[in-house]
Amino acid sequence: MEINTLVKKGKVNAFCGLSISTFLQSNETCCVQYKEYYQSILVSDYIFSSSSSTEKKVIDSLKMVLLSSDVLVKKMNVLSSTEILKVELAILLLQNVDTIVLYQFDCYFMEKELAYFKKLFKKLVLKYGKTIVLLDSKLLFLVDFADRIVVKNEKEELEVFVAPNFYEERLLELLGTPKIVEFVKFVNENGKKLLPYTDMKELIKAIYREV
Amino acid sequence: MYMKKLLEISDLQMCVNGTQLLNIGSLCFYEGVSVFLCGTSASGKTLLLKAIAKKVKYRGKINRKGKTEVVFDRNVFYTNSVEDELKYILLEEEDKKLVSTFLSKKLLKKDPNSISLEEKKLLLFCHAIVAHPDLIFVDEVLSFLNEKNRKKVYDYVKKNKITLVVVSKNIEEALQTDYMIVMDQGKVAMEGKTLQVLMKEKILKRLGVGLPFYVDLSLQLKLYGLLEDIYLTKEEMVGALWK
Repeated sequence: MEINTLVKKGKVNAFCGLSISTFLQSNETCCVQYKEYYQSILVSDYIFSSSSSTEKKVIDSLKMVLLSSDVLVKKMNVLSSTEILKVELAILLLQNVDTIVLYQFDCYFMEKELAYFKKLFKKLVLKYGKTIVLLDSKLLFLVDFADRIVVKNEKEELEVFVAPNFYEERLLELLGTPKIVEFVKFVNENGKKLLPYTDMKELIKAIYREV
Repeated sequence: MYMKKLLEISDLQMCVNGTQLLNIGSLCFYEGVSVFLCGTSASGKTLLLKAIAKKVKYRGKINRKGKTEVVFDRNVFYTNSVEDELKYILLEEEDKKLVSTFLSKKLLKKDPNSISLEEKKLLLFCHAIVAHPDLIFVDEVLSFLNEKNRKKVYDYVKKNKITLVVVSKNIEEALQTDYMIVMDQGKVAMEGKTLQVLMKEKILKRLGVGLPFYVDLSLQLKLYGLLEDIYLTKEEMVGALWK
């Protein structure tokens, strides 16, 4: 199966277990991934060398990725890993690319920022028709977010999950079980009844009704 | 109880272009006390580790009383094989055995850039442990491991009495450690025994730090009067709810 045919335009696509080079070889796109920077190049020089935008547009795109303009006077080699990812993402937004590929993006952020980025990516898909590709993200990040998940299994075959159900045994077997799913399944195995929740608030309400 | 200090930091400061990136009054790491170090983006975690590893210039004192190794996250290697990366040929037999706990023999001849992500992270960890440290700081690396490999790492450090400091965004990992430090804007915002810190959910949420699933669920169910305590496993939680 050709990898680039599995990327659905205008959707949030997730690929797990595929090497990043395999993916990028078959899709000529830019990828947001963590890189170490050893050169002491200014962030402003780095951004302006990658895109010919006005200062206002640069500041706007930095805001979109939760960075202030203060970052422009910092040097690339003192940025934190998350700041590097945000700068790389801001550049792709400035370049107005159609497909944004993010490699292990969720591993670098904490809950609050991840929730923001989920909203931002959904907006990019729904409002601007962009395509989002998440490489090697954790299942928990993909819940209520990814439109399709492609997983390379132990036999090196690709398995496709469209409109994924996060309680599907095979998906959990391949990508591990998020704690909320683990808990609900355990409750049900013990003779109680809970629906397959993926939202904490909904789960609490259901427990309140059940106990 | 007397606890041996392995690393002591006092008045650590770092400024770039007039912006203060680190400002830590005092911080100690003790033998046998594993630590979870977290904070949102640019809170200074990696910079602190770079200062400990002497990779950046700083003002203040870092007193290393035990052998310390810092494992930084990276995906690119500049050697031709895993063997070269580990200087495997020069290792003692015992260390080769140790490496084999984490990396299979068939990987040794491979280009480190071609191995899987999980294997890359284990390679970084092996790099540090063959130096036989007393204290290891692991920056993000454990977040990329699956449960099985992560358990291997925790078991190894426990068995070999290595004190582990985990720097991670994966808050679930906090529960594997004894002590927790939360950084914010280059400073230590909170520190204490892990569960005691996790109970201060309002401050943590303000700092952008979430809670492990079972701690979060316990605290919220406590608010509704459904639980009286914190339960950290599904078995305990179900047992307490449906007594």
